[in-house]
Amino acid sequence: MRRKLPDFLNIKIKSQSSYSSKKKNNTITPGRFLIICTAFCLMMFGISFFDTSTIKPLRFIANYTVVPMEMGINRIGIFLVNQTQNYKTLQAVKEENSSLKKQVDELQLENDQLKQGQYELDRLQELYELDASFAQYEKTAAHVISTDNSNWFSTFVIDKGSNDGIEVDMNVIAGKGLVGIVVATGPDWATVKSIIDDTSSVSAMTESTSDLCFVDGDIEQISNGTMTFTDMENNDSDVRIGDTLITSHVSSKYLPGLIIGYISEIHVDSNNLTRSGFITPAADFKHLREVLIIKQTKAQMDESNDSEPQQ
Amino acid sequence: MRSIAKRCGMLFLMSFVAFFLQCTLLKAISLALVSPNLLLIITAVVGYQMGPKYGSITGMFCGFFSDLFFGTYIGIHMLIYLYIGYLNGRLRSKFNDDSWRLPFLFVGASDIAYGLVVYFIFYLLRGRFNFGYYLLNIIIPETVYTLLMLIPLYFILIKIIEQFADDSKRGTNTFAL
Repeated sequence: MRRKLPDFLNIKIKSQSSYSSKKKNNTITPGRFLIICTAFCLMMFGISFFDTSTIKPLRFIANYTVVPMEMGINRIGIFLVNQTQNYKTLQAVKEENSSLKKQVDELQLENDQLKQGQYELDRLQELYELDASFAQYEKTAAHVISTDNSNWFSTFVIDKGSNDGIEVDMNVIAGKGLVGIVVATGPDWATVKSIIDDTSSVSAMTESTSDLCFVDGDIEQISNGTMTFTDMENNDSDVRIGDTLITSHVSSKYLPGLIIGYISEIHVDSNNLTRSGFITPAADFKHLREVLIIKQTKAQMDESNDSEPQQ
Repeated sequence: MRSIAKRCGMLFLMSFVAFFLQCTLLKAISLALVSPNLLLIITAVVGYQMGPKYGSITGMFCGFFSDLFFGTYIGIHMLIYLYIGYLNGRLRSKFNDDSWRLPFLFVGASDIAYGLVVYFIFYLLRGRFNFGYYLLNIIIPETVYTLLMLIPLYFILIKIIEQFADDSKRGTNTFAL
């Protein structure tokens, strides 16, 4: 039995007992109700675990309920941002100046690197047929309309879905860098898991020396604006700070040749066999508003390569 | 019977509005990459004020939305929020204090519990052992920010919940499901 509760000090409100009946035969006890709800949740989990297609109708409903409201809020947000921007011109110019200076440094670094590795790159491109750079991929632009509701993950929702030809496993880029991968689609929306998400891991390689490694998202690094890379072979190749990491040709989900970021710190692991360190992602994850989705998945690319006659 | 459906409908609407505000507006006002957890506030306060059953239902609605959009499988966040709503309703009757302090205590404890459970399921099981970092940089700031958010919200929520109670006086207020 629930104890009788005194009234609130200031606010007059009915005690809990007025919401549920005192004692009736046809009522369910809270404990039993909890068991029913738990069973329901577990059932939903089981169904969605074994057969992901069952979620589709739910995503269809979400398309006409939550997503339009998010788009509306997003539009209001963009309007407000545009208004406030008028008052922030000076600040914006200052910010732009500093970012441009940073970019100059980066480009200088990149330029040096390019000069050094020009011959090597040409050879590698021939070797791996990387000349199909991502400029050739068909892309479509989308707005970011909402971000993950918890503070633990880095996923976001875009305003294009299967109606626009978006499929699961399509790569998402912004500016010049890789942002993430589509993990779920609805008719007019899709969820993208960004590469800085703690559960994300991308197979990468250095542009100059083609050393393979893994780039992992890490929630501890997000606030520093960096990511970690691990398991790079500790060989003779000269990998230095400022080198570009691109997606590798061995990845099963990411298209080859997309820029992930630039090495900001590198050290040899204690096992003396591998190297690891930190990279600065090329995409600006703090101000993601528009992204590009590459409308070709790695699986499709591999298929079309297989179907071509061997020379 | 009608009022139950009505109340559930209102709770659904509340979770719905809370969810899309959470993903848009509250993310825009985040401090140090942490934003308050509105879904948790709704779940905990409804559980606290309306009892474990309604708390469970609200929790399931809130968890359902976050799973549908951002989860791989539906059900994990549903379960977490379900138990938060249930426990808030269940444990309230253990306290005889009816001042305004108690709901703040409950929401704070719920948010910390939520953080710990999420850390355990999604981080510890993948071998992320740096618990101190997650505690100091996500769980505690989120709790503080959520409690700050609760100060104005609590009185609004109480006004809304009061509406449900008036309805229940007229008809049968059984919870037959």
